[in-house]
Amino acid sequence: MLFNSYTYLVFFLPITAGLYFLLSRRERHGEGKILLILASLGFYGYHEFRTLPVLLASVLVNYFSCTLFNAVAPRRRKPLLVALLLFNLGLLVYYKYSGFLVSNANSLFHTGFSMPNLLVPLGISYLTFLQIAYCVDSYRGVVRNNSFLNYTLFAVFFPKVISGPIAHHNEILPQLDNPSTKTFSWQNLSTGLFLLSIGLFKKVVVADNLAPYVNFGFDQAQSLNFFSGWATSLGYTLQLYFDFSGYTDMALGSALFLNLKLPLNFASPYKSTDIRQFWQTWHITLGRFLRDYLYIPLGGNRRGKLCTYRNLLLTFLVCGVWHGAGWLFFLWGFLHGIAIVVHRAWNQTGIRMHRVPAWFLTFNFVNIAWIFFRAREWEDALKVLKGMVNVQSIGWEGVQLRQFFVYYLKDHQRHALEILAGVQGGEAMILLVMLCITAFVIVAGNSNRYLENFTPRFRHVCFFVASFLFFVICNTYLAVRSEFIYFQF
Amino acid sequence: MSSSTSSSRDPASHRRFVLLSLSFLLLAVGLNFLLCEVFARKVIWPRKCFQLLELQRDGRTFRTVSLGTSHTAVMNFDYPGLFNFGLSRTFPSIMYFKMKYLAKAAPNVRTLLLEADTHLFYGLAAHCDKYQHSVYIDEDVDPSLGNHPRGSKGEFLSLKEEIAPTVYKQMAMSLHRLLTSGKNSSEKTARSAETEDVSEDVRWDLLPREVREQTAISRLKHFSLYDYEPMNPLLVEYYEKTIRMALNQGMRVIFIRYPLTNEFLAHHNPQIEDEVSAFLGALSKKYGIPLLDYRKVFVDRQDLFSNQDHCNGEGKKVLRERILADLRGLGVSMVSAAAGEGSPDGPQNP
Repeated sequence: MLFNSYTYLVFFLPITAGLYFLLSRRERHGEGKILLILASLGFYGYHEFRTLPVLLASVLVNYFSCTLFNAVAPRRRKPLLVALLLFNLGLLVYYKYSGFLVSNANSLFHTGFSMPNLLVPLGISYLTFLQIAYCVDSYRGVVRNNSFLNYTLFAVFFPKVISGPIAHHNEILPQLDNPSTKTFSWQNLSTGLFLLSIGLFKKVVVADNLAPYVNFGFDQAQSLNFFSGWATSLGYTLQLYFDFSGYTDMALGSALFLNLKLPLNFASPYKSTDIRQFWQTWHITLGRFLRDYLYIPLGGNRRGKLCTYRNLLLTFLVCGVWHGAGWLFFLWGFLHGIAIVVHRAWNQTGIRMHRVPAWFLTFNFVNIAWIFFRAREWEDALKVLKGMVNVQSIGWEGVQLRQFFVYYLKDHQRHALEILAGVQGGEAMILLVMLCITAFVIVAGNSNRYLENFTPRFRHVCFFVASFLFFVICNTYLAVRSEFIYFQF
Repeated sequence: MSSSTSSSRDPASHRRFVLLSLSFLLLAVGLNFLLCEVFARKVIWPRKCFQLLELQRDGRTFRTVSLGTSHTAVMNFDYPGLFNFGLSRTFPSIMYFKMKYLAKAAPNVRTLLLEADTHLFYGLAAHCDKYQHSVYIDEDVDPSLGNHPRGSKGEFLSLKEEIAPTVYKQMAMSLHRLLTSGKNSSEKTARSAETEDVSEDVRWDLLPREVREQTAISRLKHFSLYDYEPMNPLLVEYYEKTIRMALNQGMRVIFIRYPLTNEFLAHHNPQIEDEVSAFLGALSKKYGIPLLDYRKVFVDRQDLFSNQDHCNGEGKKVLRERILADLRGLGVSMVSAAAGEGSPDGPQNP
């Protein structure tokens, strides 16, 4: 089920929240949790029911194994942890990476192993990290005893089950038994609604409208020139941010309907003036997990410079591969790892860069690295990069925007896009639009401030109505509905 | 809520926000629906059925009719006796129903200029379920030719698939017309906006070569004319049925093949081209139908196209003169029944 669908917004969310508070009002909290678990499984199964057993099996194995940590002798706890980690990582590798591994083994050793045709369970990457954190903390003895209902609800809670945030158990589990979360709150409802409208706006108005141009540039265009190259790469940089942060806003908003607060995942990452700051503000919960459960256990910065650099690089390689089974993701992780290492080395020189060039450098590094993240093939990435440096292509025939709009208005979007691919007047305009959106992202605040302190004003009502109306128009009249990009990871 | 002193913790302001937001949203969605419905009913539907309205109004005055797809848009000109009954996706099954309607609504038609372009007989033609054609359909069509809906003004038009995606674009275009050419846009403008003759002043030759190639290939693939596939026998059957009906009505049928760009011609599947030529040759021989072949007339004038297979305004003008001259050569007149009453070949139009 998509957040940006009628099924979710008109039926699923209001009905689930309504029934939950009805049960809470009658002090039937256990039933309330069961309702949320069933709703979450329904939400997940509506999207892909065939992988539901995998999700359930993983939750069951993890919960009951973790309860054993207190029961077994201390010397047996480590093997249990190792077994659990192997189980979780094995599940992830089997479903997500086996095809990739087999195809690489075939090319490397000239073997002919058949490619497994597996249906990858949605959200398995998120679930794996979330459960690994729980297992490790159980092993460390810092997890209190949690009921099966609480753990299951924490693991499969519908707003975050498919694409995060990768909530830490310490953030969610205590809320589940907190009496204040059992009573209906107008404040949470209004904040949740407003966050939903912000998420919808980001997704439906911005990300989905950038998507055709980005898809055309990456997947269909034979070649790109300077303007279309930059417009394509910037387009994706913006699309990804608006799509994923829009999803997160909707997840946070949906959870607030049920009085639960999910952790923040974004804090204006494109305003960052260095790569470290970028990772402290982009997909915050992933960065936090990798820091706490990979970088620090590897030794962090405690074993000298070289080990620190090695640990950083390894952490980012894992980060890259976590996003997908492919060498381009590996390269993307490697680039970020190198950037972090360079940044750390630079910091030790004591030289400080002015904010503006620092931002420019960081933003453009991130923008260029996203090309490898988005491209399906090496050739696509190189095509976009070649276009971006093709300065000679500037100044072709002149502006033909009129032609573009004539096609566009007459429902010939395909022709319009084809024109844009070849006509630089249109491309220059598209690039200008991308730059304007970038400027907006840099100047404007983010939605996080509403989470803690939302004071309703009439302008918020207007924004809410406009955002939902646009969604209705797109869904009903334009038949536009797309999945969130991060579903694939 | 609108007071600047309201606190973020004040439950009343949050309650007001929720209730106001949801009420306004409901109102906005309702108003939007009503607006679209009215717009679809008052503006889009009549435009999409403008040929029906013209037939009902002036049917008896038409002497020469062009029938086919959007390629026939070149015949949109002000000769009182000539009527362009062509529209996007008028493939043979639709042609047949239009012909039936024409026989009743325009009994004085003497000449039928029947489009004979290759894309009429292949792949996509089987899925010609455009809403604007549905008003002519009065009986079931062979299901393998696709679902041909029957139109009704009583339905919710703005939610119909054929209308819904264009509602807002049509609104934008109407607004544009209103701003640029006064309150009452001419019927001609409205008509040309609906016939998919993409634009009057767009020039194909200004596009980069690789874009032209890509576009032509993609269009050919769209119409299943790139890789070989056999002609659809049902479409062939309906095409011949249309011819027979026209001949039974005492009409003279003339085949017309409209101009194509060099890129379109270069990438067109040659086997399909040969097959259609042979098919048309056989029909010509069987029914004595002449063929006016304009496919390559603009080989050196690519500036006369708006896209790979449609002429722009200038192209239409040039082609129109040529067609008129050729029709005169064949002894055809475009004079209206009213103007040349009683004479099958009245005085020539100016």
